[in-house]
Amino acid sequence: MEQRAANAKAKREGRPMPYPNPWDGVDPTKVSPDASDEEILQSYREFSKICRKREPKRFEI
Amino acid sequence: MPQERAEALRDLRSYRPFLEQLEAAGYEFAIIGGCAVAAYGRKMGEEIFSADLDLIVSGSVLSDILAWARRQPEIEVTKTPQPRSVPVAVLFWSDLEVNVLTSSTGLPDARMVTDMAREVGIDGLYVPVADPFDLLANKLTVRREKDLPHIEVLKRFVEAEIVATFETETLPRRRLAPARRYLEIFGLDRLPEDLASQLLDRVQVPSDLRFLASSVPEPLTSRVCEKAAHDADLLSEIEEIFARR
Repeated sequence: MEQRAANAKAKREGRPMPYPNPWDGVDPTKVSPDASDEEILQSYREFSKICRKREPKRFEI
Repeated sequence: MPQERAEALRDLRSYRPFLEQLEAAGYEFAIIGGCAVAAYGRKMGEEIFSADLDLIVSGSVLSDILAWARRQPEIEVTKTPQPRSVPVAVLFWSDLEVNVLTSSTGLPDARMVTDMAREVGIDGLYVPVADPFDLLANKLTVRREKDLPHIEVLKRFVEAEIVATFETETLPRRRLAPARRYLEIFGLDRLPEDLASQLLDRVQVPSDLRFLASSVPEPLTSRVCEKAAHDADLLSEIEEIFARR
């Protein structure tokens, strides 16, 4: 909780958060904190290209 | 635990070598906890703090991982599961803490979590991250104060997935599956109005309308009828569904 307080303080002071989301550097599909719903949806579409779902197993009889 | 170790997780890339070793060793696992939630955050800097990496594995895999970890010079095992306590092992890889669990409140069985995990790329290495719906069920069950931001992040992600699925999926049951799961996880009969409205904009097949007829909030029922107006039989079905609500 101390780290969240440090993040909140940094946000209030307009500084980068000392404890950012650890995936920020890995995920190029993220959008700005004030992104619209449509931007978030587009972000999801882009993220889906680097986030693979397990495909269901299929059999033919 | 040394203070400097508790603050080590800033960038998932720090864990990539460890995860690569774990993958190469052949153990089935999935990332859970705050770090997993963070994977699904869509906004830069989303408030998802995670000091360590939580992994879920099945019981038999935990003992194998511990044996493997003890053979790795760069890994220190600091805690092993004890009888009559939470089955968790704690490892330190360099200064990074890894908690290895076999269960977590509200999560499905470990085998199911690892089977359903999504694979997210970290600089070319695809690592399993627990399904966002499973994580949401977990967080909603536990519902501590610190879980509330996690619930919001996951909710936003799955809502985007529900809308995107309506856009791109062609198989009727797959089109509806995420929305049905959403209702089940949140214990709802009706979808939130904004989400339902976006789905109405993307209706493609009659089964979409049958589902929406039972799940849209009251203010949107007229739109369902408008969408079905071209098909008298479908419209009649929908009116029957409304009558049963």
